Formats: sequence, C-alpha cells, structure tokens
Amino acid sequence: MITQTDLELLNAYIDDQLDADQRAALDARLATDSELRAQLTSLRATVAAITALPMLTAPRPFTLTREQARRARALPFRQLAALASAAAAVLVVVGVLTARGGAPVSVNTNVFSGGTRAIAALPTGTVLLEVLEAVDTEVSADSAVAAAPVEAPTLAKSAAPPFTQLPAPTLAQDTASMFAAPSDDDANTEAMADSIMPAQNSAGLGEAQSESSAVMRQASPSVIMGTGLPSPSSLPSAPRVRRDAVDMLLLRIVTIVIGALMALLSLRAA
Amino acid sequence: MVSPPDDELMTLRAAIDGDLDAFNLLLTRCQDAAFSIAYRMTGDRALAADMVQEAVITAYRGIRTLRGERFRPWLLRIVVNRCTDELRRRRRRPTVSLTPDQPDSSDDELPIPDSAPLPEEVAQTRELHAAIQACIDRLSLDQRAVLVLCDIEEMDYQAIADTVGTQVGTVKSRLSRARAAVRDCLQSSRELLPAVYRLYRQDDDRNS
Repeated sequence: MITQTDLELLNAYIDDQLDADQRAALDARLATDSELRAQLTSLRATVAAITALPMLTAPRPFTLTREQARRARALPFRQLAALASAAAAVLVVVGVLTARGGAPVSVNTNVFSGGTRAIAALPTGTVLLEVLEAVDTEVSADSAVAAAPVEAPTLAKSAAPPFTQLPAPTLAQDTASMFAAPSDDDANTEAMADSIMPAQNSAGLGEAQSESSAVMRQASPSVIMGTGLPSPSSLPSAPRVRRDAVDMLLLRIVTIVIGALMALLSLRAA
Repeated sequence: MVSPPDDELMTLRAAIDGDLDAFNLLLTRCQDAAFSIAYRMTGDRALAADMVQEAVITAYRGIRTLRGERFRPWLLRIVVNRCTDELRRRRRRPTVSLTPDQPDSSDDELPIPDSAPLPEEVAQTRELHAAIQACIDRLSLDQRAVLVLCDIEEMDYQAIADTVGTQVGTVKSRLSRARAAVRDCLQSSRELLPAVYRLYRQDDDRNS
C-alpha cells in the first residue's frame, strides 16, 4: 500500500532532496517492494515527460522602452483613484458626523474657504452672494483675493461653528490637485477626468465658466455636504434653514453611499 | 542562496540604481523562461505574454527592493504570482468567450511549417506535449505553480517554498500530488506516452 508519505519520499528521491540516511532507507525498501518500485518508475517517467517540455521563445521582447519605464514609475492611476475615492468617502463620513449644529450658510462659507484660497479670503455675512457673483461673473481667483479685506480669514473663523468641514475641502483640494498635476500621460489624464466627472454631476453644478468654478467643481464632494447653492438673492430664514438642514442630511446620506461605492469599486479595480 | 556572478551583480546594481538598459539586459536573459513559466501556468500564449509584460512592469517598479537575491528567480516569482492572481480572478468572474475554446496549437513551436507534412514522430511529440499541458491545466493553481517551478524551472524545494510563500513540507505535498495527478491524467493518453512510461504503467498503481 502506497501512502501519501511514500509518494512524497519517492518524489524527493527523484529530485535528490533526501539526505543520505533517508535515501539509504528508501533504497532498502525499494529493493524488496515491487509496488514501490513501480510507483518510482511511473513517477520518474512523468517527471521526465514534463521536464522534456521545450522552453518556449518569448513571442516579443518584454524589455521596457523609456516611455514605458517612465509610466511604470509614475503612480498608477488606479491607486490614485482608490485614494481619491477613499478620501471622498472619509470626507462624507466626517461631514455627517459633524453635521449637528452648524448653520448651512456657515458651513458653506467654510467649505468655500477651504476649497479655494481666493474664496477663503472673502468676509462672511454676504460672502455667499459675493462668492457666487465672483463665480458667475467669471472673476478670477486672483482678483477675488485682491478685492477681499485683509482681516477676512479671522472673520470667517469667528462666524463659523467650531468644527466644521475645514479639513474636508482641504483634503478635497489636495485630491483635486493630485489629479490636476501636470502629466504627459494622456491616458491617465483622461481617466482621471472621468473619475472626477461623477462628482461634478452629483454636485449639480453648472457649466465650468471660470477658474474659480473649476476649483469648486473639483471640491465637489465637500460642496455636496452643504446645502447646495442657495439663491444669491435671499439669505435663509429660520424655516428655510430647517429645510436646508434636512436637505443637507439627505444629501450627505446619498453622498456617503456614492462615496463608499466609489471607494469600493476603485479598491476592487486596483 | 546562490550568489550571482560578478557581471550579473554589477548589472543588477546598475538596474537597482535606475539604469533601464541594465534592467532590460537582465530581462532579456530570462524572458524566455518567464514566458515558458507563464505559458505552463496559463496554457494560453496571449495571456502568458500579458502576464509576463505586467510582471516586468511590476519588477521594474520594485527593482529597488531586490537586495541579495538573483534577478531570475525574483522575476519568475512575480510571474508565477501574477499568473496565479489572474487565474484566480478569472475563476471568480468567469467570462463568456465569443469564440469556442480551442487548444493552443502553437504550444511547442517545433520548427516545422504547418503546410509541410508532419513526420509521425514529430506529430506524436506535439500531441504528447499538448496532452501534458492539458494535464497540467487540470491541476489546482497551488499544485500547478509548484510543479512548474520544480519540473520546468528546476528550482529546489526551498526556492519553491520561498517563491510561493509556503513551507518546504507543503511544497513536497503539493508536488507529489501534482505529479501523481499528471501521471494519472496521462493514462488516458497512454498511446502518446514514451515507451518506458508505458512499460511500467501497472494497474496496481491505482492502489495508491
């Protein structure tokens, strides 16, 4: 009766992987056990048949060109996408966890202040109106900075609730700048643009009209956490704020799901 | 661990320092082996080529991590792992092919044009190789990797264990099961087997 242990011994014997004692012991058994000998012979023939398989020739050279090497060393897009999506999911979760309190207008103000340096420099209060006007009238980020009072950041901070989503848009901006980093890799750039698009659509923002609006689009995961863009012509009343708060919560829940799905899909793809 | 010869060591150092030509030189020395291993793992030339190309890119990215190890086994490890991952992924998500599965007739690249009449011996050799590959394809991925590394690349058990990330005892076990499975599988093609193999095939082998 040939056991699995016998088979392993026979294979090690064939591969010359037994030490002297094991080999001598097996030789002694082989001398008296015809079944063991038959097994050894058939296994040897099998190994001989497999090792006789010819070495194949590579169908093409697999050497890397300079361009392939450069791309290989660049951060793979999938990793970037996974990072961005994971960051988006984290942002959304943070946004929801910190959603209590926080008037929508203030939240929005902070979103913008974190999302773009130009907007951050604007004062609060009517800031939203000014920001929207700046975006709509295609005022560049630089000119918005120039027009803002110097003490604006302090004002913005004091008008805002303690937490807020300041880190969130900053992260989003970092993510956006990663995507926006100059690259010769057309394929990657296109793919990155594709990954940004869903977020843009979710934010429900209009056509890109200026640099400022482009930055806002890239920070859209954070914008989603806010109430969307309120009408510039009216600051919110109390019932409006409550309604906005409910809308905001719903939007955040939806965004959590989208963000989590994006992260899962990207990680799976990676 | 066997130390690389001096010239390989110098080339390897240059490659680790980012010299692409040095990397390509190391690669050209073992790309046929890499492709052979990938083909024996996958049974598909196109897929094998893709796996090797991806493994080469992975290797280039990680060349700086290669310290005190020879390039060839390191690259082959990446190839085997890439093939295993891809085959596992395909098992999880089987795709429906628009074309019926056909045996990969380009297997052994014997230097005989298709239009020429094949001498019987060459034809039999081709059939034997195809039969062996078909039997390898039926092995589990773990057994296949061990068998290919041992009997195609002729690695020792410890090197195989390092390559597939397991213990030597597991390698022994997988290898013995794999060879026994290939042997039993080849029984269905006994007429293709070398005479010495046929001579010693006995019915009582089944007792094992």
